[in-house]
Amino acid sequence: MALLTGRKVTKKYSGLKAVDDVDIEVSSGEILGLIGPNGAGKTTLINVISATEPITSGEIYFEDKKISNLKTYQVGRLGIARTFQIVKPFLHLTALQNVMVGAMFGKEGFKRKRKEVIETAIEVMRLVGIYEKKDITADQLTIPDKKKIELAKALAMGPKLLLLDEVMAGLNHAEVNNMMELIQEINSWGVTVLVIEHILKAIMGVSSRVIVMDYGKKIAEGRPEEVVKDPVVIEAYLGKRYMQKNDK
Amino acid sequence: MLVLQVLINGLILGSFYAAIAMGFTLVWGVMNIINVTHGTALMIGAYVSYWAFFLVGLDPFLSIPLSFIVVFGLSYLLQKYLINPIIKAPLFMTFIVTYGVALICENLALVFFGADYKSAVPSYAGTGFSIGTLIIPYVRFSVLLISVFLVLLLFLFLEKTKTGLAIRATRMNRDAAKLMGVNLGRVYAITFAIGMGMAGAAGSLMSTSFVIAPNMGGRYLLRAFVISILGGLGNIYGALIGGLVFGLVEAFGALYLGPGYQESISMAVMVLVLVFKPSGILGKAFYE
Amino acid sequence: MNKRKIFYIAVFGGLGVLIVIFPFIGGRYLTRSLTSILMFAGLAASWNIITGKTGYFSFGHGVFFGLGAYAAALLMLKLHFPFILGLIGGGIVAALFAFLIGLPILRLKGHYFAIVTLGIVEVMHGIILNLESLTGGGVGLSLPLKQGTIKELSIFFYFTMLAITALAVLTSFLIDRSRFGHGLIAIREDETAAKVLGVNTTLYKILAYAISAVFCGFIGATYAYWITYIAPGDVFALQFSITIIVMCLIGGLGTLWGPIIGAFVFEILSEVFWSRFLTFHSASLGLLMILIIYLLPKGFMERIVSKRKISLKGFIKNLKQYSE
Repeated sequence: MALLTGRKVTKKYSGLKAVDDVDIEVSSGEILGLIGPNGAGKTTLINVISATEPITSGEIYFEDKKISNLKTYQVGRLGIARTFQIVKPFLHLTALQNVMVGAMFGKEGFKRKRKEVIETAIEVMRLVGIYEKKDITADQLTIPDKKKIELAKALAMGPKLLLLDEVMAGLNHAEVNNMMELIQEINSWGVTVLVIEHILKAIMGVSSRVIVMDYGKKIAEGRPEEVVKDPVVIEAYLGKRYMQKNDK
Repeated sequence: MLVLQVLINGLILGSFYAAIAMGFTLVWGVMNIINVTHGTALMIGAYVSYWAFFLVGLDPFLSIPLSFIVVFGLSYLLQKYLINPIIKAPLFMTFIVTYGVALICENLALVFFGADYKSAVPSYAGTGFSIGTLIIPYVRFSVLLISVFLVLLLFLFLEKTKTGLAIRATRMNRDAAKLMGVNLGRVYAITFAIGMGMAGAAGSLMSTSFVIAPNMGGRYLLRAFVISILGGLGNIYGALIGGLVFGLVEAFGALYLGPGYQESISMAVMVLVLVFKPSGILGKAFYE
Repeated sequence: MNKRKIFYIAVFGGLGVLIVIFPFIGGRYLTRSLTSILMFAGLAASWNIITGKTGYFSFGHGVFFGLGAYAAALLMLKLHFPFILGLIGGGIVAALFAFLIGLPILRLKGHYFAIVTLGIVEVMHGIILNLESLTGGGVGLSLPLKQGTIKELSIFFYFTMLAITALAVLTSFLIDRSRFGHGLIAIREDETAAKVLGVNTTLYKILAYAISAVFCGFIGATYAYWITYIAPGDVFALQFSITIIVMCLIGGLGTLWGPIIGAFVFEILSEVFWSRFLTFHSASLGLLMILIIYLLPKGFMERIVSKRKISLKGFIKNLKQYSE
C-alpha cells in the first residue's frame, strides 16, 4: 500500500530544474533509500515532500490526501517528519527542551499533556543515545550530538513517515552501524523511512528498495543489488569516460 | 513655467538627497548595520562649515573637503573602536550603540553650539542666473554641481580603486571576501568613514541653503532610510535614482499638497514598499 | 521548609506588601514616580512578549501605546464612555491594529521587520496629526477629569498601572509554560525548524504580536486618563519605543523579570541624570545605552542567573566573537 505518492514532482529555481518530473512511491512500512551524486536534487525532493519549500508543479499524496498544496506545519502535523542535512537545533535551549518541542507539536503533539511530552522526549533521547546530555544547551553540543538531537526531534513528533537527510555524514564506522540499527528499529515500530545517504554500505544494508537521482531526474529504481549494477547509475557516479574505458 | 521651476528645485534637492542616501545605503549593504549616526554626520559637517565661515570667513563651499575630512576621521575612529567590536552581533546592538552616540553628539552640539538656527550665508547668496523665466540661484546650482560631483567621486572610487573593489566584494559576499584575504575590519572602517564623510559634505552644502540646528540630523536620516529601502539595501545606483525621485516627489508634493504631509507620506511609501517588495523598487536586479 | 524558601517568601512577601501599601504611605512625588515606573515596566513586559520570545524585533512598539491613548480619549470624549470602557477600547484597538498589520509585516525578516515597525509608528503619528477634526491634530485632546482628591487619584492610577503590569507579567509567565510559548521560542531559534516540527508560525507570531499590543493599549488608555492631556508628539514619540527597548536590554531580553528590573533601573538612573546632569541628560542616556550593550549585552537577569560578575575580562571575551 502506498503511503506517499509523488507524481511529476518538479521544483524549479529561476529556470533551473532541481527536481525534474519525478514519480515516487513509498510503500507503508518500507525503508526506501535515495541516492545520487551531489546536486542530484535529493534534498530538494525531500524539501518539496515535506513542504519545507513549495512545489513548482506536480502532486504529492500522503495516505491518499493531497499534501502538495499544504503549508509546512500542516504536513508536519499530518505525520511527516524530516531531518536537515545541516542540522538546525534550537541553540539556546537544552537538548531536552529541543526534543520536547518536537514532542509538543507534530502528529501526536497536541494530544499530549506536559507530563507525556517530557516522557516522550526522554524516551526518544534514550533511544537515540543523547539522554546523558539532556540539560546541556544545544550550542555547546558537538556536531554528532546535534545530529542525534535532530533525529530525536523528528522522532518525538510520532511520525508515520520519516525523511532522513544524510544523518550518517561524518560518523565513524561504529556510529554508522549504530545508526543503521536505529533506523531498522524505528522501522520495526511501523515508521516508514526514506533515507538519503552517501555511504553506500549503509543504504544497501537498510533499504529494501532504492531510488537513484541525477540532475533532478529519477534514473533508476529497484532493489539495492540491482541498482548498484545498473550502468546508468554507475555512469552517473563515475562519469561517461569510466564507462567508455570499461566498455573497451 | 512654475512646473519647470519646481522640477529644477526638485532635482537639486534630489541630488542632495542622493548624496546623503548613497553613503547610508553603502554602509548598510557592506556592514549590515543600521547607522543612526548618519544624521549626526550631516549635522557635524554643517557645523564645521558654519564655524569655518563664521570664524575665518571661509566660503562654505570651500570648506566641504574640510567637513569631509573631519567627519571621515571621527567616523573612522568611531567604527574602529565602538562599532567594529560588535559588528557581527545582532542588529539591534549596533542600532542602540549608534543611537546612543547620536544622542551624545546632539546633546553636546546643543550645549556648545546653542539651539538657535544658524546659516552660513555667503555674500553672493540671493544672486543667481536665469534661463528664460527660470531662476537658478548660484548657491542652489552649486549644491547641484557638488552633489553630482560627490556622487561621481563615489562611483569612481568604488569602480576604479583597489579598496573600492574590496568594498564591493565585501558587499557581495562577506565570507568569500574574507577568504580572499580582504581585511574586513579595514574595509568596514573605510566604508563607514566614506559614507559618513559624504553625509558630512552634504551637511556643508546644507549650511548654505538651509538652516542648521543640533537636531537636524534626524529628518535627513529618515529620508536616507526611506530612499535606501526604495532603492534596495546596499544598492547605490538605487539610492541615486531614489534620491532624485524623492527630491522631485517632495518638490511637487509641496507644491500641490503643502508641507505638512511630507514625512508621513514618505514613511507610508516605505512601509508599502517593505510590505510588497522588500528588495526595493529596483531591488537586486540592479545589484552588481 | 528550609531556610532558603523562608528567605524568598519573606523577601517577595515583603516586597509584595510594600508595593500594595505604598501609595497609602509614600509621598505624592514618590507614588507618581512609582506609577510611572510601573507603566514602563508594563510596556517593557508586553514588548518582551513579541521581541524577547519570537526574536522579531519591534522598533516601533510605541504605536500601540499611542493608539490605546487616542482610542480611550476619543471613546471618553466623543461617546462619553466611562473610563473602564475606554480602557478596554484602548486594548481592543491596539490588538486589532496588531492583527491587521501583523499579517503582512511578520513575513519580513530581521532588518526589514524592525524598520517597517519604525515606519508604522511614524505613519500613525502623521495620520493622527492630520486627522484634525477627529483627533484635534497637533493641539491634542483633553480628557474628562476623574473626580476625587489628589490622594484618591494617585492611588487609583497607581493600582490601575500595577494591575495591568501584573497582568502582563502573569501572561508572559503563562505563555512561557505553555505549548504556545515553546513554539514562540522555537520560532526565535530557528523558524524553519519550527515549521517542520509542526508549529503554525504565522498564527503564533501574529498572536504574540497582538497580545504584546493589547497591554500597551491598556497602558496607553490609562496614561491618557492619568495625564488628562495627550498630543501626537507625546504618545507617538520614538523615545517611548527606544526607552522600552533599553529597559528590556538592561534587565534581560526574553526573561520574565528582566523588563521589570530594567524599568526600575532605568527610571532610577533617569531621575539621577535629570537632577544632576540636566544639560547633559540625553548624552548620559546615550552613554548608558552604549555601556549596556557593551557590559550587559544579555541584561541583568543573565548575570544573576549565571552568577558572573561584570568584569572587564568577561566583556572583552564576550566581544571577541562579535568583532571582525
